Amino acid sequence: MIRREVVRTKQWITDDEYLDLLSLGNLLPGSNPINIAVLIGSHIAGAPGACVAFFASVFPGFAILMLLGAFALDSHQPWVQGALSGCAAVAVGLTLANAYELTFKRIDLVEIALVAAVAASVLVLHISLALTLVIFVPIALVVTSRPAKKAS
Amino acid sequence: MIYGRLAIVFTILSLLGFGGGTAIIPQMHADVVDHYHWVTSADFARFYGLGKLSPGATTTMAALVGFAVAGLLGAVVATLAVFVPSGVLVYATGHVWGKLRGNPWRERVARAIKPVVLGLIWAGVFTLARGVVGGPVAIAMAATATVLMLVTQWNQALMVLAAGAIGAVVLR
Repeated sequence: MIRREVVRTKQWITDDEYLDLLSLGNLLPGSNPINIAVLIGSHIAGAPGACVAFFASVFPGFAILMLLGAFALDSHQPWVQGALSGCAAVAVGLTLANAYELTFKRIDLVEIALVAAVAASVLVLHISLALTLVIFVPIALVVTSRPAKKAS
Repeated sequence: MIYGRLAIVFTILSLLGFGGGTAIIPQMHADVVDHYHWVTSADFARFYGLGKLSPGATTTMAALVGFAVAGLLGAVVATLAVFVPSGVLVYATGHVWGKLRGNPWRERVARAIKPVVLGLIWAGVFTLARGVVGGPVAIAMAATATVLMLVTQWNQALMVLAAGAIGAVVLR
């Protein structure tokens, strides 16, 4: 959706540039939609553009969550709590589907083993996010740069 | 001071949040539920559900954690802390990135990060699942959502919205 708007309708950037920014937005820390917005904003209009894009991409979600949250957090009505629990259950189900697709449709067995090792270390050994990155990114660098059997 | 603590927790999450929102869920849970006890595990999962429901990044759920701890100002602090540091980093890196096009290390790092992020996402799924209340009914709803997501192209936010309506009736 973002691509259609900025590449085709507005023609702010080319497809190649967009894909380039997308790969960076996915790689760096931070939420992808916001990263992409900042990168496109800065590409088009420098630092002011990045700021505008940042607030424009953060604010609507923030405002809606404040309205929903202020209402939901103050309410001890059983139906409100039930509604929120329903949202939680389905959101987890959706994320599970997402994780499943990303894991089993795109990468090879050795990488899947790495995925499992990371998940197990976090869930069972409770190692921190920082430590996870320090330990597993170097391992992943070795594992994923085996002589190319073209995965993904 | 509570605002300072919120700012520190979410700034660190922001800077370590490689691969987007869901990968930071286990650490966010460890910080705001297990360590500081700002919110319960059940509320954490509910906030995640609301985050999926609202437009933009699911990570905006940080606002709800901030709100639960310290009201509207807490929400603003948490939101800025979770998005601004990574935003600045991305802005600063954007210029360099284009120049690295064709550099083999660029692709190599991008590829190596993927399985690590996926492992964190799986850990996030299980971390959240432990907080979901509602017993077998909630599990059935989650399983249905998983299947629907895999076999249809239905809009995710609408599915979460429908789940809210169903939950209001059956999970009360």
